Amino acid sequence: MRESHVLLLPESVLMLTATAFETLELCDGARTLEAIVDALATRHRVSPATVERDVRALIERLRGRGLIEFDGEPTA
Amino acid sequence: MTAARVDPPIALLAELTYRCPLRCGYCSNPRDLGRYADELSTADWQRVAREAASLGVLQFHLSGGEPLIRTDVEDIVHAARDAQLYTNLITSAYGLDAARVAALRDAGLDHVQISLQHVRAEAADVIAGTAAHEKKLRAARDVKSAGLALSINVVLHRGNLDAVAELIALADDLGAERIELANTQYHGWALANRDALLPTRAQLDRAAAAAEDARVRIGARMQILYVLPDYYTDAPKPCMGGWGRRFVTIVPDGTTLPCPGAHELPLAFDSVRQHSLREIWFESAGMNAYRGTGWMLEPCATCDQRTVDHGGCRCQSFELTGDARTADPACALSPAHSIVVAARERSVLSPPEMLYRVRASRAG
Repeated sequence: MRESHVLLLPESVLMLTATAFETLELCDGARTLEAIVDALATRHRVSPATVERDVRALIERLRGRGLIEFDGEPTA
Repeated sequence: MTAARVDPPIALLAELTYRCPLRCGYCSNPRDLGRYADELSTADWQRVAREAASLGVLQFHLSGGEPLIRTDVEDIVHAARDAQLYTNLITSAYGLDAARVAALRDAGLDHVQISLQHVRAEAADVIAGTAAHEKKLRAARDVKSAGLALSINVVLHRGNLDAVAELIALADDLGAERIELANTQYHGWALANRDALLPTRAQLDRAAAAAEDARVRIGARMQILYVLPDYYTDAPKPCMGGWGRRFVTIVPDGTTLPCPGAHELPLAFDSVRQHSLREIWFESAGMNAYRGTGWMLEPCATCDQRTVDHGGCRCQSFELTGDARTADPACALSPAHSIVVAARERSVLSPPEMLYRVRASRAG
């Protein structure tokens, strides 16, 4: 039917790329940002610095729209 | 007609009934409610929800009229959640109490949108034509206490635009995750009351500044959506993201439309009483009438914005010019743009009295 993952908001739908979906799957409320970056870096054999830049960009966008909350401030 | 690639709709608006205890002068619902008295049954709506999910719909919005006048909203929500649809109740909250909120939550409801008319009861109740404001505030608190997500929706017009900052503060105080401040769209009652509703440009500029100021202050705690009125933008809105592209509306008697206003158009629309939703979405003449760009006249047909704004709102074109294929008169390039400009110019004069729907329900 639909071959992509989506985030359902009250009156809109956010289409997720495959990598965005993979990242959000790891945001389980228990893992820290560092743990999420490590997991993705290991899985895709990419440098943690690159992954961290992308993950932060995604999370900041969603956070700006109130879609993600941090349990405490993320370390800079 | 140019063939357009047709994807399944993302969201379905289920207008369960047009009955409503409120009589807001800005209502975009049809003025002849009697035509829609033969409402779909619970089982019809449950089937529609299942058909919608298998077609690819993701969100199921239950609206009206006032949907809660029906006692089977919980049963419909339950079926929609079972079909894995995201469910959103769009309500005046009139008659919504803690027990009903709990029942709706237990049925699986995801989100509630409550309309407010103003920040103060006296002003709000005049706009609604009914004493409803205090009940709405109580219901909003019940929704939050039950752990449901809440949006506040305010239709803006000259009678409440000056209260935008206070409306945002009220929604924040109620714990809403989201406030939708949408300027009136002139269909149905709102078109009949246009001169009583249309704000001045000065009012709009102040309100937009107030919304922007609050957005900076409130940040991610509450999403503030401010929708400009197309009567003042000189550009048409990309209505519904294009005719029959993303949204489908089913009105109380089962007639299935690309948008809630399309019943005014002289087109053949089909009902879910006779056809499956899939069949209607892809095949019905009405649904296909203004898909793509092949139907367009000049100046739309060769306009570089034609696949962006889709020529604006077909219903507005029809209501203001008598031909739904003409450019939306909100557009500065429309030959009928003077209608919109003249209405804007009249907004600085003192407004006429608001027309209200008579309360006595007519048979029909």
